[in-house]
Amino acid sequence: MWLVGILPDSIFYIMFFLGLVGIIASIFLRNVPVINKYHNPIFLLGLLLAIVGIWYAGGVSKDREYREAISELEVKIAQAEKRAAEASAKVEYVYRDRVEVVEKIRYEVVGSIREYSGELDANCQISPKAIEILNKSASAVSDEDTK
Amino acid sequence: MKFLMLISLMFLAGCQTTVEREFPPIPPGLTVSCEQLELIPENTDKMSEMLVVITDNYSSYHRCQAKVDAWLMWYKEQKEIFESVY
Repeated sequence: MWLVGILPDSIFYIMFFLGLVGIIASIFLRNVPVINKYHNPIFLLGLLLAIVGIWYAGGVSKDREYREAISELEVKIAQAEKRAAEASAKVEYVYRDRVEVVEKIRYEVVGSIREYSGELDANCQISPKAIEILNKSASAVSDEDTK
Repeated sequence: MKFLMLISLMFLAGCQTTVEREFPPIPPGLTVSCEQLELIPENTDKMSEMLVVITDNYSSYHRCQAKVDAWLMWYKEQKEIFESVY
């Protein structure tokens, strides 16, 4: 079927047409003296041309169908890729926006801690054990892992 | 004759066509792992210093949560787009 891509489509229709002409001509040639001896070769050649022609004409038709489907798919993919890029940009924007809010809140909270640090630190003693326990929670490493 | 049959088979052989498709772009902010939580310095004796570290860790969690949510949103949207093509 790769021939379909190389030769022009019309050649297969011409082959089919010539094949039909050959078959019909061979029928008439049978009754014409002198040249009736060419009846069989012309008939066989016509039949071969008609079969090959009709086979490839079908191939051409299917090939055109597939090419249209491929073009349609390529357009769809191009649109999908554009939408995918837009969706990624939107996700990035939403993510950055949320991180910005988190940073803003962190800044405010740390500011409050600094503001009230005198009050917070005045009557508070921190046990080293409390720090150890909190750090263990933050590092997510069990005692077994540290051994 | 066998040779002719083999040659004729060549004319019947079809070709394969591949339609290329690119993997959707990943938002740059989502390509980095979530950060490690901070540890409180062992010699800390001030509550305010400890609270700052705890606040930083809460912020880290919220940034990581935003990242995971963004990944989920990205996956959902890309899946919808992917399925709309085929």
